[in-house]
Amino acid sequence: MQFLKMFGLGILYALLFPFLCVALALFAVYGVIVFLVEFIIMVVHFFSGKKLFPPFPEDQKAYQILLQLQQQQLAAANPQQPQTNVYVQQNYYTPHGQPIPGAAPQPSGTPIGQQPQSSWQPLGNPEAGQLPPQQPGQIPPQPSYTQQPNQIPQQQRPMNPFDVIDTNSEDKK
Amino acid sequence: MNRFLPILATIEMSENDKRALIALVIILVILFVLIGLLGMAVRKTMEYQGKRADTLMHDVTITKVVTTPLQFRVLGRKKNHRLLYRQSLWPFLVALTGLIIWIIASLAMRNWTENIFADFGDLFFLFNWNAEGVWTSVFGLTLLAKFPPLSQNPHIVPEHIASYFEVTFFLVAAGWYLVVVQAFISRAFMIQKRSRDVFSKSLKDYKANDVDTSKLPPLPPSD
Repeated sequence: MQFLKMFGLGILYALLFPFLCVALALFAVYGVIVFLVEFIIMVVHFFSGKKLFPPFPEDQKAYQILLQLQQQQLAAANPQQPQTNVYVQQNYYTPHGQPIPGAAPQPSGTPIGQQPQSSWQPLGNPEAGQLPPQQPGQIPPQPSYTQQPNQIPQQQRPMNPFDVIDTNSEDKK
Repeated sequence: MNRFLPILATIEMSENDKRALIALVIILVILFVLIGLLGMAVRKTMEYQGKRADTLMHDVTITKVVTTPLQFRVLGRKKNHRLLYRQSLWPFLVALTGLIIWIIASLAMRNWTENIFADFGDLFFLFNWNAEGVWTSVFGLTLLAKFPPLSQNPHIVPEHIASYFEVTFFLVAAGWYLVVVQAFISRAFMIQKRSRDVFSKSLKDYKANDVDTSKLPPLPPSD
């Protein structure tokens, strides 16, 4: 059956072949004319400083619509989380770690003129633990030293509150 | 029908005529089947080439930038022309290369009237179709009786080397350009077809008297 169908189609195409050839030749000539017209358009675009083949306005419009759709889908897929910033004014805890019952948030975390006190107690460093308690408004004495010429200044390393193990005292034992 | 039967019965065929007739029928059947297969292949190729039109018109159609068949056809024609220009640049460049070679060769040899296509025939076999006994007559039809003798073997003439390149470039460009034009025709047909299909509305399965009961308000409670 397929063979007969092909045979019939072959007769049909053989009869139509001259007309198809003429049609193809006419389209080929039309294609040459289109080529020349497009070439002239391209040259005009070139000398007017545009792109050789700028996108069609319809394409630009479609691109903008698709871009908007994409952004909307992206926004729907990833909803923005509300930003929660914790400020010092919102600290409800005293410097010693005890919460104030029913206290309203302080306007500022530290009163003016008072140094913030740390709530930690060094465990392994007895010297630091025996320091006298500081009075409000009193600046703690800073260690002073004189810098010799040609001497590289050494910064005193502040005591790390997380150094809970005193390795020196452990060595003395 | 009965009138022709006596006429057919009176035809006397020799053994050679019978063989020639059978061979002719077989050749014709094979030839038409081959033409049919070739036509089907061309048709499939054109369907494949026409799909490019869908790519060209997809975005503007789904975003409803183009809303009428006329707009669709106008924009499709513009895009199809631009694509034809882009695709036919290469075959035209190949043909231009052949033309430049021809100009240079003609300037060098000072011969502007040489038939380059006849020179190109050096590269092919030539048969003597007018030799004795090549043709025979069957029922008044002149048919090929035997394969013709060879009159020329392929050979290269050094003076014709430029012609070989020129004709090769021209033939490649022509074939390539015809394929490009075929693709252009395929896209034009596809744009015409889609402009009808995309914006058409169908009432095929719609019944105006069908009532969707799910949309009706509920009945009041019975007593």
